[in-house]
Amino acid sequence: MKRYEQGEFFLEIEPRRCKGCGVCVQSCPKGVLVLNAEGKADAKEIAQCIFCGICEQRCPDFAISVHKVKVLQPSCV
Amino acid sequence: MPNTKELAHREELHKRFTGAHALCAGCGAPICVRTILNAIEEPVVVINATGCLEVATTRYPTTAWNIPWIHVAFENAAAVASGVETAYRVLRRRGKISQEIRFVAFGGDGGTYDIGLQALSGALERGHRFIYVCYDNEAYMNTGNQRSGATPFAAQTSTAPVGEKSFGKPQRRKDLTEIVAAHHIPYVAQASISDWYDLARKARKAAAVDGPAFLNVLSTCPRGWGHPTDQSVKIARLAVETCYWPLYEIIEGRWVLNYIPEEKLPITEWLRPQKRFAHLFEPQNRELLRQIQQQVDEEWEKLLRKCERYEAL
Repeated sequence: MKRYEQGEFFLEIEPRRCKGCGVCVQSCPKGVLVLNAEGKADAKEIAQCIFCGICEQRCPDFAISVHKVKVLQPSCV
Repeated sequence: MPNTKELAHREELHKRFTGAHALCAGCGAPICVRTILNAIEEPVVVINATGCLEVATTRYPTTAWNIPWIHVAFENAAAVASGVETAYRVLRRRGKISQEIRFVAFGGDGGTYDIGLQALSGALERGHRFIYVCYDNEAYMNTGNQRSGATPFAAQTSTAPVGEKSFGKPQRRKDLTEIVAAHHIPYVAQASISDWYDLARKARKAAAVDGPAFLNVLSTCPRGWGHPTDQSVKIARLAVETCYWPLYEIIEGRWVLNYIPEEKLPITEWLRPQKRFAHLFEPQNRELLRQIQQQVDEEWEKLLRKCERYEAL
């Protein structure tokens, strides 16, 4: 499991689940994600990431997830 | 009540359907299933028809489902759903179950348009409270791309090949959403995997109605349609932008349009990236392209006349 942190959010990529389809690379509005030499999803420039969660919603293999470091308050959910 | 975006961030809902399934890279079906299951707040029982989704997610001895899941045969997902729902209703009346439970049936286009149509029709007519989701990838992709009732006109499939004397499937696809709407059920909608919020919202609405609900979701298949795996969502989006697959819903018999493209793209934009339509771009097939565009325009005009109002997201 690879973890990329920035501020109060983090992005997790599980390479064992990734089949390298590239849907996340095409969906990312900021061009953060790329396919690495092994053909798996990887975050190239995490500083650009806005943690919109589109990659998480689109990934057919559940390999990417976006989380908040802090636990959400019940009133926010 | 939380909105769909908030539901999408609930960790416990994410565990209903998990990764490590054997569906192809770039498959649209898991996107469709995940979006729908994440949008429904109540406990869910899934009924699955035979198809890619069933075969690839439940390879013995593993399973990708962390919720109650049942599969019986190809043709009877809707009939099984009726039975499960009736048993639940009886147990609830006797006070043995106190929870609200939702029943979601997933079928491919083969198990819905063709093989499971009469079971579906019966279940809808009897008025069982369940959601039937058809993830429409426009052919029998599990067994190797044979034509189905959902395959579009002139598409190449293994049983409608392209050659000197044939140009792919000679018949037009049937409009299942309208067939289902003719059952006068409370909620029918057409959605696409490309429009996440629209699909999630429709799943919420379907779960809220007291009676049968039906969702017809366009789901891309990179192997069968012949496009690069990373284009899956984009091609589903192009189907919406070209008005080939309009997004609309029918609430208690009232037609509501959910999306009007700013500029309606020509259907060739959708056809070109797909290998199953590659033969249409040869010079002798220009007439076929014109026919397809005409069919799409006619259907779109017809839909615009039927829709009483326009409700975008």
